[in-house]
Amino acid sequence: MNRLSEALMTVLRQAKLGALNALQSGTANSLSLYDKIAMILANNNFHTVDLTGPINGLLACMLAFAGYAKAKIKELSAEFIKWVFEQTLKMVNKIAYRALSSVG
Amino acid sequence: MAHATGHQTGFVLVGKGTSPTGRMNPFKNDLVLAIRGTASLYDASTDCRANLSVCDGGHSVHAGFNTLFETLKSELAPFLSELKPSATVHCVGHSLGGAVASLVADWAKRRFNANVKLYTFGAPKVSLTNFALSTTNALKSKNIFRCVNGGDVVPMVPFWPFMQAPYNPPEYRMDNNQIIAPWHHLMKYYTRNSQKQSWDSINKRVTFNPFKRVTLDISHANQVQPSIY
Repeated sequence: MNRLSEALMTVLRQAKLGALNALQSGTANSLSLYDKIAMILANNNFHTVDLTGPINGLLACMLAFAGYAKAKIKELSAEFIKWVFEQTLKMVNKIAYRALSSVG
Repeated sequence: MAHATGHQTGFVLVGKGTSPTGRMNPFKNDLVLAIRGTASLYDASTDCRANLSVCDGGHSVHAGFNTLFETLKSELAPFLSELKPSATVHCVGHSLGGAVASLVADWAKRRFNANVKLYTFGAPKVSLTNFALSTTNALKSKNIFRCVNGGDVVPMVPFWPFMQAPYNPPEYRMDNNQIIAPWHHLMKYYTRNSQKQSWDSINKRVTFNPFKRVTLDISHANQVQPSIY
């Protein structure tokens, strides 16, 4: 069994650079897609250019969309970014549910 | 198949093209698979289950739609296996029905190598990029008629990373409305907007382009409202 696993990992590594890491992070922990996005946006060590302005702009627009137009962005932590995503998705789902309920 | 027993309702109506005596019918032997949309809050719960599952083509798709599609497959297979090579399968659906029609169309093409045309009205996004690309290439974008009302929110959900097919080509925009409101999802508005129109006369627009560069500034936030963004 271990040899089969090793063979599979070898072929995956040859097929695509970084595929193993991507697959592992996708399946081996309990993080959601938006947890991972929040972590990427919050960790500016890997940013190739200064993204503070665009990230602030995106979050401000998401907050306004979610009904928090007066909220101020004080920090770009993963927890805060994830909370903004959650509020945005809640609003998206609310609007979609209203539309679907009008049919049902 | 269109019958109701207790809590179970028929989902697909199957029609077959016939040729009245002495007349030529270009749609003779064609199949129409008309799949109904959301009709109850139970169906809405199917729509809202935006988890992923793997369809039998190996792609990641919306779990709720895929579960429903799996229950229909065995009923549809006899119709598709008897299909004449020159015949076309027309998969049609509104809302939830459009999403399931997308899965049926992809399956009919891959499993039965049928000529398939897909018509969806106000259908939500069904899958991640891999299925959207695969089904666009398999069916060809000219055979996919994704129709949306401008103010209908349902074709915009679930949120990214869900994608729609056709992957990049434009969708048929049935009206020029920009304000999102629940009633734009109703079939009667799709029926009204599509009356007396040919496919060529309907506007086409790319509403979501994964390659488009968009940068938002904090000063844009005061323009944002759930009904117009």
